[in-house]
Amino acid sequence: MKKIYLTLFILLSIVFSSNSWASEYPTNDVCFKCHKKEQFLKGKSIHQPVKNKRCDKCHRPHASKYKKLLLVPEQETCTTCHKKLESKILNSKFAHDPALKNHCIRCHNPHSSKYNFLLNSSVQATCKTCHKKILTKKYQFVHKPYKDGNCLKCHNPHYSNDPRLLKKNPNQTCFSCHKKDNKLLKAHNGKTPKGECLLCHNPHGSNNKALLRPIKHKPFAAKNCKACHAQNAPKDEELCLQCHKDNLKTFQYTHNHLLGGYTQNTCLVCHNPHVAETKDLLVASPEHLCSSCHTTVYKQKREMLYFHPKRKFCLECHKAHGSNHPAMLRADGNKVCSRCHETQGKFSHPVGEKVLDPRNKQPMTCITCHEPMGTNYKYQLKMSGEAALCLECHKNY
Amino acid sequence: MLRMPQKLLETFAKISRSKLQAQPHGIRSYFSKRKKETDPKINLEKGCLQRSLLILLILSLILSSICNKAQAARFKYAFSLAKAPDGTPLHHPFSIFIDPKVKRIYVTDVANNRLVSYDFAGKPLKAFNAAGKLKGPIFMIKDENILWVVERPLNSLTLINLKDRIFKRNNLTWGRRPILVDRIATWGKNVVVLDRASGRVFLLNQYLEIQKIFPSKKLKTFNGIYDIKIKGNWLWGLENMSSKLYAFNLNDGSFHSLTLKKQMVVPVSFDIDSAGNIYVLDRDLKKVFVFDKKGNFKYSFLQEGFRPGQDLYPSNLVIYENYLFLVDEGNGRVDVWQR
Repeated sequence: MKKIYLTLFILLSIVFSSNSWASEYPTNDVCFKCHKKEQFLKGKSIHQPVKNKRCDKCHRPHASKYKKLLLVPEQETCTTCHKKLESKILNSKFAHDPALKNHCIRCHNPHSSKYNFLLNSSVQATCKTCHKKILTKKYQFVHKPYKDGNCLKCHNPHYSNDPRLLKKNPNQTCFSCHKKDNKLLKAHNGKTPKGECLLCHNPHGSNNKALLRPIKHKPFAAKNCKACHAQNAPKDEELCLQCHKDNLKTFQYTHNHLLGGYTQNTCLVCHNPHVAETKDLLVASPEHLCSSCHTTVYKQKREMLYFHPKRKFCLECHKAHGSNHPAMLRADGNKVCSRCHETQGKFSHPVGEKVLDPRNKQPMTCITCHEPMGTNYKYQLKMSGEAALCLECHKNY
Repeated sequence: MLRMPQKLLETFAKISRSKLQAQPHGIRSYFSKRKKETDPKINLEKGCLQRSLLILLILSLILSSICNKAQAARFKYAFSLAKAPDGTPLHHPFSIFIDPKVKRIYVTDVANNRLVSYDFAGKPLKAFNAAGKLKGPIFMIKDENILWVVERPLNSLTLINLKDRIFKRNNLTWGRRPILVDRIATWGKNVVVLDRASGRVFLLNQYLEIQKIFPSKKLKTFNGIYDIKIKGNWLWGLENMSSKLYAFNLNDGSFHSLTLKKQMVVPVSFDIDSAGNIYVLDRDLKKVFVFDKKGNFKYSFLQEGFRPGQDLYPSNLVIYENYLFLVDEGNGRVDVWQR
């Protein structure tokens, strides 16, 4: 019995002593002797450590290696507590750039805010700071959540399995508000729509009724549905080739994008037969469309420091149907770059058919040294330009 | 130390004694047998036979373990096929074909519009361009004096009879629609053709008439075939942008499917070794993924780069006996791996 009493005494003394340690931390009251309290406690949402009078959770009171006397670098400060969110962002298929790079304070105020989620400003204003082009467009018909500035109704600002950072899959997102009723059937000629709603409808706004996307396929614009939906019409890519006869030749290259059998009509993997945002009637912007299959390309952007500024315009350098060049480039590794980089095309490290790479005896091109899709070295070099890259070939130097 | 109570020990001893007595072939009977065996009256010949049997058993065990190890041995980079006999480098090689009868390796050198042959030591033997007629050959097969070549720019399955000097281009159709000829293979006297446009495989006779189509029925989950290999009477197919393999019986059209348990990005080619291991080449990840017979992931190898044994834009993978051939379009060579 004596032993039990002794252990109980020790345990209790530890508990009480730990409370007494906690009281030794500098509380906000000390900090607010100099720093204006109103600045940190204004608004309806207050960050938990500020609320709990624990400035020391993020800041050192005396000195620090980091800006604003932070305990750890600014980009690591938030994730010391928000670990679950960090792991979800890192393990997700697609992530919002600022969230991925831990630039949390781009959107959030670390102390307090008059907006929900400690946002710097209203949801719409916060999104608009970067997404100016999309969010300042004016439409004749506007989707209600977009009009109300309620971006978070559909989008997850941190991570998603969808490249557009939708909260759920596209149709689930739409049908979380819209009902599958007679009204919907009526609008779709009495048939239940099978595809993805976003293929035809712009979820922000449009100058067309029913938020239809602006560029229309000729038969659709002429309301000539039977041009494609006739009873005996083929259901595979032959249907498209009936009008676009010459298009088969665009696939007659060493590399082509024809994935026969991938869907009933292979053309529909990339194209929308009704309406779209682009002249090519693509189902999404090339950046999103291409990265939905070539996920490594998205990862590369996510993980690398330097990449080509026009990287998201895939079709500037790559052909969509077929090419004789690896990576389906529009021309060889020199011509494709020197269309814009004219000076480098004429005056640079020797390149061309007569200059062979000693490692593989293949002609030197711009992409022998550069990787425009993204690298961790300046000028998108494949290795460090200080020495490592040059020493690959010039060993004696 | 903990001490067992005396009563518990006594009951345990009782139980064990009773068990020994109850079992006719228990420990006691074993000891009595041993006594008989050690008896000097036992025949010497019987002992020799037993010993030799034991040695044989041990030897067979050692041999089988060596064989298993050899089968499981991984491929290592051996050498590269990078030049034609005239010393010119290959430019955008795309695929290879191995003729087991004459032990030759044939490479389609697309940008140079030619076919180049090598022996198994990697020595370039001949370059062939059909007197300058060949245009962008991406795949080829050979059966004695007959060559079938896929000329992609012309969408032609071209017949070249080396003996009779015949050069004939064929544009294939299926009903009204043209077939975009891609991978080709032989099965007896038949030609097997993969149509890139439909993702289906056609079994053609020597007059290029369609005999069978794989899959013969409309399958619910079928996403089209990207690469094919023939193993005996089975046509193996790698599904478009997925980790699924189909095996079609060329005689009756029945099929099985196998899902490989590893997510890949752009799998473009595959082959199966004699032990049943499946090797899949991913063009975007620039790696070869190895799976066992059941589709379980074992390991992956290969690294992006310019040096021999590394790859830039790999396009085709073929396994023949103890060799693994990896065509690298970006580096303009075929890397030969050996085990």
